[in-house]
Amino acid sequence: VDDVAANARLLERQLLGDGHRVLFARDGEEALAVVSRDHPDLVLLDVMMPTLDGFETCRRLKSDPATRLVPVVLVTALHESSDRVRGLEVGADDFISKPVNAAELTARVRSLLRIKRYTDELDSAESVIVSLALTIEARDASTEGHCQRLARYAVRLGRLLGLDDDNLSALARGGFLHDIGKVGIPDAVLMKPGRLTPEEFEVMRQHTVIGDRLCGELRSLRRVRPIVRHHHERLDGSGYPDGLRGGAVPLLAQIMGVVDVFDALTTERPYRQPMTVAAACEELTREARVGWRDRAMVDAFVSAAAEMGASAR
Amino acid sequence: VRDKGEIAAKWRHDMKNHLGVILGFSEMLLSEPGLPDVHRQDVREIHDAARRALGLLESARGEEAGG
Repeated sequence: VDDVAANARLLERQLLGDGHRVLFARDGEEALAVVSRDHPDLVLLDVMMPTLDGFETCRRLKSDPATRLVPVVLVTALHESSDRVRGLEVGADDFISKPVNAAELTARVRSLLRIKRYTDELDSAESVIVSLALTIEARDASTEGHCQRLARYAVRLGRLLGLDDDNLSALARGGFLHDIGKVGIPDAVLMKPGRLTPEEFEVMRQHTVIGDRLCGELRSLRRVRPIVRHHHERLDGSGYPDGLRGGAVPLLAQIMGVVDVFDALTTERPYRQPMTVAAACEELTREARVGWRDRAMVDAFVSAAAEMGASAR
Repeated sequence: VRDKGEIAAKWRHDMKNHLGVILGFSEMLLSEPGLPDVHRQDVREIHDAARRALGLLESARGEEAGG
C-alpha cells in the first residue's frame, strides 16, 4: 500500500524474485477493501498517505476480527522512535525503513509469512471444531440458534460482571463449544422426547467429558475447556461430571451454566412449551436459593434478562 | 496554517521516497548478472548519486535539528 506508485512497483519487483504474488492499493481506504476481498497473507503499509494514513489503516485492520491475524509491516521513511511506538500501539507486526533494502525486505517477509502459516493452521483447527459444534446443534431442531444465543448471553453476563476481553472471548467461543461432546452421544439418547432413564442420563452426562477431551489438544482453546467440562456443575456439588463445589467451579463455567438453563427454559422443547422470561428468572433465582448457583451472578443476569430474552425472538 | 518545520519534514519525506525508488531500482539492475559491464558502470553512477543525495538530505536534517 503506497500512494507513490513507483514505490509500490519497486516493492513488487523486490518480492517477485521470491515468488510472491503482489496486490496494490493506493491509499488506506483501498487497502481495507483489498484486504477484506483478497485475504492477503501479509500487508506492507506505507505510513504517510493522504486521507487514511498507515497508522489508522493498521489500527482498523487489527481491530476487525476478520483481518486481525494478517501481519502488517509498516514501511516508513520516518525515524523517530515516537513513530515506532505509535506503530506498535496500533498493532503493527514489524517495521521496514525506507529506502528499502531488498535483502532485508525478503527476509522479514519470509519470516512473517512463516508465522502466518502457523496461525492459519491453528485457526483452521478451531474452525473445524466450531463447525462440528454447529453440526451437532443442527441434529436437533429444537436447539436451533442455541449456540449463538448462548454466546451472546454469556458475553453479556460476563461484561456485567466486569470480566476482561480475554475472558469475554472465551465465553463467546464457549457458547459455541459447550456441548461439542454431544457428538459422542447416540441419537436415541440425545433426541429422546421426554425423560431419560437413569442409565440414559449417565450416558448424556458424558458429553462434558467427551467435549473436554476434544478441545484438549488445542492451545487456543485452553480457556474454553473448563467451560465445556464444568458447565453442568452446581455450587453445592450436586452437578456433573466432577461434583465440584463452590469456588472450585470455574467462574466462566458458572456463567455458562446460568445462561444455558435460561435458554433451555425460554425456548420450546418437544415435551413442553417455552417459559416466559419472568418465569425462567424465577426458576434461576430458586436455583440460587437452594445453593446451585451464585446469587450475585443470577441477580446480575436477571437484571438484564428482559432485554436479552426479547432479543432472542 | 502549517509551520515551516512541518513543511520541511513533509518535503524531506517526499524526497526520500523518490530517492528510495531510484536506489531500489538501480540496486535491482546491479544485482542482474546479465547486465553488460558498460551499463553496469552507468547504473552504478545513478545509484551512487542517489546515495549521496540521500546523505545530503540526512545531514540537512541534522543541521536543522542542531540549529
